[in-house]
Amino acid sequence: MQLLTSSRTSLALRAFALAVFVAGPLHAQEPSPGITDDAVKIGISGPLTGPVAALGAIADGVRTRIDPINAAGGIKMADGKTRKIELVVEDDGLDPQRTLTNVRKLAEREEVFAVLATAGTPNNQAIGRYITQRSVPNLFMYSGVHELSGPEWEIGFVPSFTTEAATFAKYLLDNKPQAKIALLYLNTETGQTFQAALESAISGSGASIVAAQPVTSADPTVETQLSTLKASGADTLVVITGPKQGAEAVRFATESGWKPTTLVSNIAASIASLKPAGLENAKGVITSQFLKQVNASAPGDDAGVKRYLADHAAAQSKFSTDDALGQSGYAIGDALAKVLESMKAPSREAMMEAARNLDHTQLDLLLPGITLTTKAGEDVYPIESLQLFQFDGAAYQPLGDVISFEGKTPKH
Amino acid sequence: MVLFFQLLIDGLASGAIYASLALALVLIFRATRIVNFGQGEMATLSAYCAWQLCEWGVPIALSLLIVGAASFLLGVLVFRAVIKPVSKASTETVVVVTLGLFVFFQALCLWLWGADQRAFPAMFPGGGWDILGVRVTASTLGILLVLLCLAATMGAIFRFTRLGLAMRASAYSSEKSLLVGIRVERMLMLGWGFAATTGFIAAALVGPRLFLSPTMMMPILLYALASATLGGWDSPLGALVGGLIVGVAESLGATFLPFIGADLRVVIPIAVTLVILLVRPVGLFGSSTVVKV
Repeated sequence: MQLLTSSRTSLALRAFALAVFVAGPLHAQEPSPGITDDAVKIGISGPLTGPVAALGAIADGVRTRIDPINAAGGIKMADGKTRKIELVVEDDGLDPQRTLTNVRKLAEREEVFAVLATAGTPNNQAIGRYITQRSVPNLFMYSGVHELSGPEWEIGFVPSFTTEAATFAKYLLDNKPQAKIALLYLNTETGQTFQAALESAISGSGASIVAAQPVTSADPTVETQLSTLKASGADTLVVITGPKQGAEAVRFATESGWKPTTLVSNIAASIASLKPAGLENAKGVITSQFLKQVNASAPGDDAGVKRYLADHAAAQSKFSTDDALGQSGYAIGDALAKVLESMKAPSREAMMEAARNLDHTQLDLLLPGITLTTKAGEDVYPIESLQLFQFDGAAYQPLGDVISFEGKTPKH
Repeated sequence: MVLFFQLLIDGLASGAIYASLALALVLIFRATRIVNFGQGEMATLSAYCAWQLCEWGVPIALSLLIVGAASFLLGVLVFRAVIKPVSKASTETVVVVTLGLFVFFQALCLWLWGADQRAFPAMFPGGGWDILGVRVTASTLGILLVLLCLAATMGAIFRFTRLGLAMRASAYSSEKSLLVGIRVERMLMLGWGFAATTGFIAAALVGPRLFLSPTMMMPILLYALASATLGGWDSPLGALVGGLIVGVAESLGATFLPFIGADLRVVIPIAVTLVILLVRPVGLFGSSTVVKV
């Protein structure tokens, strides 16, 4: 019996080796699945329902950018063909297991060319192995933990949390060199990465982290953590959590009479999410941003913002125009278009090559001075610059120029 | 020392939140012997309706009144449409049905209003007082006061009125109650209606602190269940005290027990409940049922 099993195994191995040998060279010449002469199929798995359904705005944002491209006939790619983009969106409720099931379904049944804008660090970790085995591009992940981007078939989009930590550290060292920092962090890889990066960025200076408290998304309130942080005697509060706890922290910092210098990560700092905490309480909050501020009632004369607002109205998108997540989705859709334009062949390899060699690519919603730049083998971070903003009670006002870490995103 | 008292107050504040949902859970258990896992999500739906009315320009007092009455009808409707058909089924069936209510009402809110968090209008002034460095907010005091009145009223109705007696009787044994002329179905309907309204009051009280969102009550359910078990499932006052104990234990434990920290804080309510139940199986204020053979 043992013998039988092992001989069967070796037979299977040999068959597998043969298949790889035969299929390998052919694979490179045959066109990849999900792409024809007039269409390319892109899959998205994201949380449309569940506790973090707010992230569903990303998929809607991508659609907001893709719709007008298709209405105009499609996108002219570098191989000379014009293709329409077909989007397939699946709901995963931000559950990594469901993300894997969805991506499997997208790759095998829907036969998509690539998956786009997968949200959440654990979710991207869950699909990493499958993506690599099947050689499906996992393009422009919505996760700030870029250590995922090492493998061949993945590339992120938003800046690394280490970039944001370094930006915050730079602000503090310039303006408050003796800062005593209290840190409220989400107890996942997101918060831990940020904490480690902040620690190393301020090491050797007069500033120090005097207290750190973790939160989880299951905590009903975070006042206990905040009281402990306040009691530490800190004069600076740094918040890297989801929008709900970020808003709670901002309210506590003002209402408790603590009034520290408050820096809030851009994942929690959008005006829409601070509103329930009382905009009066949010006055003075500092955040870092890579997207333009969009004010639908006074759009100004920025061509990119105007185009975004027009597309948003035409696509009848559900998210509000100042929703940073919807804007990120729109920017990701824009970046996808740029990658497709520069692909020299209709293959997945060509797509990754294009995404890994972006050269100062401009997007409609990126702040002036911030572009997408990557380099195969060296630079896996498309966005490595951030600009600081301070909330004045009604809108965010810029605080200095864009701070660039191009080509030198800090490791943690 | 200041930190200790501040955390004590913080604990009471979060305890009041747990107690508010626990109160609604106890009420429906007292009236129908069912633990309704969907109670918090039904309350969230009501809170959304109140918020929507305010957005449309209805004064807050009026909209609370309207939605309070509508919540009563919602409770009655849910009982008639969903619970009554399975009332003779096994406990497991009823548990699954109430879990279904949980999923349904959450999905309904998500579908109608989206996932963004909203500002629920506050009923109490925003300020507070500094007493020797310890911060006490007006909203915490207000919530505690309202809950205390609510628990006392409910306790008194159950204990001292004919209506309360009839409700208790129909929950305890529907067949025998029928024989002595109690209109059992009407009593159960009333129980669901009252519980839904109580749930709405709870949601309206804590809404400004938790921010209105479809999942606002979800993290609280576990703590509320622990509070109700701790206080005793048939005592409204017990639910209130249980909630406060859980809140304070969580707040102090997470900070002063280094091996627990903020990561394991969810263990605290469960541990406290377990210890109390070992000593007193019916909960702090629960009454044991004596069965004569």
